[in-house]
Amino acid sequence: MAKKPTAIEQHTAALKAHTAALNRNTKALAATASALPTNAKQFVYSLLQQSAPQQKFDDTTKLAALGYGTKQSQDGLAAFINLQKWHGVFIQDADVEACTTVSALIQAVAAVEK
Amino acid sequence: MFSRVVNSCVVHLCLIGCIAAQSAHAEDAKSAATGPTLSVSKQKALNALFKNDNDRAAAIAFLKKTSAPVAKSAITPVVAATKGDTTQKSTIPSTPKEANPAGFTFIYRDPNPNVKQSDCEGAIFLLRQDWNDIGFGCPDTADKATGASITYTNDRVQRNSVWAIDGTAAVLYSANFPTFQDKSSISYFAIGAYTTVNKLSNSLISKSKTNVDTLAYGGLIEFELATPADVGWRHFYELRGGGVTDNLMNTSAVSLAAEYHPVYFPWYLNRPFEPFSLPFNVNIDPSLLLEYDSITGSGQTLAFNNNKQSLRIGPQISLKIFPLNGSTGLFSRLSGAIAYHWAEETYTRRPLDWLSTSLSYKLDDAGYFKLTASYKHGHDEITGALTNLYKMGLTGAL
Repeated sequence: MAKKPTAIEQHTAALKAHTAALNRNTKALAATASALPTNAKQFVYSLLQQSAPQQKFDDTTKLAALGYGTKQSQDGLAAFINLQKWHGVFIQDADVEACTTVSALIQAVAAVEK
Repeated sequence: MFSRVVNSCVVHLCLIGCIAAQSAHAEDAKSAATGPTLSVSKQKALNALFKNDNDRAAAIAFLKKTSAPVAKSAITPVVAATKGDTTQKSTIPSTPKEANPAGFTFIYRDPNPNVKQSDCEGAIFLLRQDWNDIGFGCPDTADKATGASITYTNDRVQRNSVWAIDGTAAVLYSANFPTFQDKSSISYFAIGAYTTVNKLSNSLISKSKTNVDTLAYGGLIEFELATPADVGWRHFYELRGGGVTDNLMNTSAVSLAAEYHPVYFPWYLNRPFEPFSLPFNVNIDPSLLLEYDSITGSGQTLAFNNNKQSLRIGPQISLKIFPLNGSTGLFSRLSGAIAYHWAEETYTRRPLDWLSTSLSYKLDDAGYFKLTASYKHGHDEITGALTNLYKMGLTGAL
């Protein structure tokens, strides 16, 4: 009859399994982490590129030229930014509506970044 | 007066935001100078967890990156002229939106340049083809709108001249309100008045059955419901009420309409996107419409159901197509709109539908004037008259 493992042994075994899983997945985790935006500019660019990867724009591009010229799309963008929970950002609709250009949006996001 | 109250609130928010931004700016500079380091306990834990050196190095790099505060000063200034001007940089979010390039739209705004206010607030005058073209509060720029149209066609073979006017003008007064992270709230409210003119006149008497001469007018309110931050929906509602006069049928009717438009970016509702790597953006706006009409004259009926009253309910889907930013050639000047509305007439259980399409080629860079081809088919949204109409002409959007 097999000896029943003690609580310590069970805990150690679980820890070993967990460590092995971490070792297996570290590279993937690190790769994912490195792909995450680290500043407001990367964050805003990643959101705008998500739905239109071929679209060319820079900091001076007007948001209306990218399709964010209506109240519905601007408020939707504010809600989408808030939904990401990136660096605790919670932005008001009016702040996004007040942004004419991509750079203004970056600055607005940076201003509420935690 | 109300606008002044709203504006003064915005000024206070702006001042708080500026102070916070400047404080954060100083902290960023400090942390950027020292650089992020991992604590001894974190390093010991990593050494115990990762036997492989490469894996351990990757984990340390990851932790350093995620624990490092973001230096806001690293963000590119808006324009070169503001470089080095810290006041400008930290208050840029509060800079009022610059004049809309498609800016014939008349907007009342506070003249104070430090007041943060969007183009969607205050009094605004709109001129577009119909309600699909107007949208909510802040309309799309003129280059993406179909616009009101005045057309003249001279058919020399049939000796028929056709004049047509088709457009909706509206005046809106709107205000934004704060949204909250953890609860739903009304984030936008607007009141306004509108008039819609739809007139088509043939000089040839045999073609007079296609003549149209309607005038609709009334008032409207709009509001937006914002859900909590982790839900991410925006719900737009519009209620319109007024009269419709058909000068050909000599009828007049009372009209009430309610519209609901959801916005949710994860499902691409009202989010511009590039479909199948094609060189244009598409915006999908689904909605639900409830429309009621009641004829006011005696012995007359509505074209929707040949009754004195009509109540219609049904969904509508609108698509707007416009070029990707930076595109060149033909596609850069083309834009289109398709709206299809299906409804059930509840008094007669009769299905009705309405298709409205247009394709425009902008003549000037801002898109104020366009050559537009349009096709409308089905029961007219305003009068219920059966319509099958092709048009091509010059349109203008303000």
